[in-house]
Amino acid sequence: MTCQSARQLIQDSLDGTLPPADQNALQLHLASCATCMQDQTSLSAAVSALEALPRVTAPPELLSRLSPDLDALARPQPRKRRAAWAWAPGGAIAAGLLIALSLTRLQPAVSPPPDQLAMEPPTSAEILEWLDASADPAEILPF
Amino acid sequence: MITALDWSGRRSRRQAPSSPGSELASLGESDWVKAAQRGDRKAMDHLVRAHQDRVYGFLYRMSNNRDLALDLTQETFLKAFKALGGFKPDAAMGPWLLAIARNCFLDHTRRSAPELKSGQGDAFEDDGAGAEDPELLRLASDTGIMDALQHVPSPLREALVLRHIEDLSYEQIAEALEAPLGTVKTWLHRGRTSLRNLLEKGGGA
Repeated sequence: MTCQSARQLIQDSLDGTLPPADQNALQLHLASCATCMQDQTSLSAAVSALEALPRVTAPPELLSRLSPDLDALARPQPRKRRAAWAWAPGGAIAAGLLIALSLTRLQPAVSPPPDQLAMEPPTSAEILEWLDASADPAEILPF
Repeated sequence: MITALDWSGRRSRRQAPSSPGSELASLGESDWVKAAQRGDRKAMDHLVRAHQDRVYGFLYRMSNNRDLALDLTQETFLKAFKALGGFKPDAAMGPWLLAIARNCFLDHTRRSAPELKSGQGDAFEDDGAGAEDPELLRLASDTGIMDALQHVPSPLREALVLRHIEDLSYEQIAEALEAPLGTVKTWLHRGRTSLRNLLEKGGGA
């Protein structure tokens, strides 16, 4: 392996894309080439220093600073439609009421004739009149 | 809980950030994008929360300046939402946002190059305040690599940041940098060599 090839493989190794077979070949070369070994060591150190840098997080004021601009870009959202199942309880109640109403409307078919339903209770005078007309006066007992 | 980001990297150091308003947590990113395209304000917030750390992290590592990174992150999201109508909801939003972020950074660099000279980033500032703060001490230890990184030329620097800090795959980097895979690989090789040489020189000063 030439030093030029080895330098390419060192970069691939730092990328994590070096196949195991090439890794073995590179290690053999590094064991016998101080220059390439130094190259590999120093590049690895640079990468390690970069990767050791901590993650930074955005300051909390970012959202508040963006807020006026995002408010200006936002548009009123349509009200959410209720899902079909959400209407089920109300529908069941309405259906029940309809059925009850229908039964009530059908009730006259099994009820007394309308003239009986409309009959007013007799007055005292009417009762006396009926008694006078239909009963034997002798049967009328005094109170 | 925000759904996991759809740009898994080579390694997985990232936790999905939490979010209020979790009633739609089961939706995928494309659903959020479609809602945002309809002008849904909550969907916009969700997308910002899902991607803000990655975008800000990229811009911070590119600029080495927290205030500038915040400004450019704000600019990135604003441009993204204005252009969201032309974005395909089923595409990955992360690389697309990073491409916008990179353009914002390059535009800023062209407008005000002197501000981005090495050594002027806030990782190098030491006003004596909070000297015991572990965060500041850690930042100080990062100075050498960050200083060197600022001297790696573009686009090699972007490739290094996206690969070795943000854990993006080659494909995702290619999408974010709008370049073929082979070109990305070349940039990474040259970027690593450049960074190594700068570190050996003492941070590129």
